[in-house]
Amino acid sequence: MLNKLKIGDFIIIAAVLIIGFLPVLRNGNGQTQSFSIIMDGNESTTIPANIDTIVTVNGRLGPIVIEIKNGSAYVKSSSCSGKICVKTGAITKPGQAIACVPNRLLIIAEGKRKQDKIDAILE
Amino acid sequence: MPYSNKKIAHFSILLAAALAIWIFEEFLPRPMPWLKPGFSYIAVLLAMRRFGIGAGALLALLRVTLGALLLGKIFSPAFILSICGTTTAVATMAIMFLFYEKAFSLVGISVAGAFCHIFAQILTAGALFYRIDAILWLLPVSALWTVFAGAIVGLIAKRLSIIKIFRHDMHKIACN
Repeated sequence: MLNKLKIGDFIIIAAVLIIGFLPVLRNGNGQTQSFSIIMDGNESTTIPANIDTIVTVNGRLGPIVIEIKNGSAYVKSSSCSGKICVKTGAITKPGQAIACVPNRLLIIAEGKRKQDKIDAILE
Repeated sequence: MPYSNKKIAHFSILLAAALAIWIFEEFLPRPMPWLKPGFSYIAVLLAMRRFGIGAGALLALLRVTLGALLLGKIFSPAFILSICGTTTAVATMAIMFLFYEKAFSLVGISVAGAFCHIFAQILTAGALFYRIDAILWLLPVSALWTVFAGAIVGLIAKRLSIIKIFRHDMHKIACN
């Protein structure tokens, strides 16, 4: 059955893998410096990763409890129905994120960005 | 194109099968919360092959809408994500079906459809939060999953398309 595959099939599989792994090149390694909590795409709170804390934020549907522990963040409980944010588990590496679509909540692990370096000074 | 009773009956059976599989999948354990095997696309592929591209697209969109109605999820964020994913996947599969048997088999079409489905969902979720860059880290594991699940779906569809009632050539029907 496998020998009836067409050349296009292999091109598609290769293209999918290449496109899929492009974001890996972009993400820097290193330590997570802080976690940004974004509500509705604008209100943002930043919490340093080295502080262990529990934060409760109010989403569209109700409260969401986020715990930051040992440099990782996870959603402890949420008011949404799907609970995808809870099932996502803990995020540790820079660039990772937890999303809760019904509550319009986004938690992003921020690392040191390359943009922080000064490229040139113009006078 | 006139629709015979037989054709309508076959189409309905495929739609019912797609819905049953789709609802059953909701309750299966998943590797990641947003990754499903997508076995209902077997029915979409068979409908595209048996009844033409338009019928397959109709089946996919009916599957999402009726499935959301049955599970009480219509117009929820999950429904918006799945309709965006399905529309993109069906559009890609429809274009690729023009080159069916020439350049692509059902496996390639299925993998491309699966990837476009998840890619569109990721972009839509990113657009809802206005931070697409934060969601893109989901892409590598999703790409691996779509190659795996898409290939299995494609192989099953390919195997089923040999069965008599699915065997009719798309071209003959399209020429009616």
